Amino acid sequence: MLATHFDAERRYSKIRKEALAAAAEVIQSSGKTDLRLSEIDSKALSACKIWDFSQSRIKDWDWVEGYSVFRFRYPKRFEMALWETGKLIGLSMGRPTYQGSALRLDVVEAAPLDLGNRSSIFDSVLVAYGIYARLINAKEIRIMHPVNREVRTYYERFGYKYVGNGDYLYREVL
Amino acid sequence: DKRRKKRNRDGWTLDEIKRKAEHELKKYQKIAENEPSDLASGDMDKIIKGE
Repeated sequence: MLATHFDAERRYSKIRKEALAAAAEVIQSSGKTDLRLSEIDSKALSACKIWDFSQSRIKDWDWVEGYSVFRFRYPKRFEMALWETGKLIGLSMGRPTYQGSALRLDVVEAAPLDLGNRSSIFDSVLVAYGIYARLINAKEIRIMHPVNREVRTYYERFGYKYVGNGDYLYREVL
Repeated sequence: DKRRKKRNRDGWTLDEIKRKAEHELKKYQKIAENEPSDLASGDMDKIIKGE
């Protein structure tokens, strides 16, 4: 690993932790006291393997391999695992664009509902991404590749606009 | 910790960023009451292939 890569990993790891701590504080003070945020660690990657047993999961994503590649390649990434009463309810990872002007939300997945009830996750995900975006001075958040029309429409309700050419939605960070 | 005084390039402190987030979360939570059950987005295959 190059020294510059290692240095970026160290510096951005600190900002990631700061953003997650701030987001957790904001979310918990809103009344979601059972919700906890963490980085994507071995515990989260182990916990998400149960999603493979879902009958309703629409993507059979391999988070272990995907995260491993993403982590190695993007030291400036943002990542989060969402836990509710100790149970994993969502995972997400993203990274700044090449020029750093936007923060991409590359992947997000909520725990399949046939494996148990859970709270919504996207409100918490967006708050955390918003905090990280402001800390790294990104001016836009891009949600990449919504899996279907229903999900895309849902994102649009948060004020995001769809760009068909790149298959993503964007919104300015004000 | 008193990090809290440090400002980002727009001149915002962490406390100001958190206040903004609190305001946004209130709006987001109302929208999220109708979250799709199969919430997901992204292209994991592309990531794994390094594209």
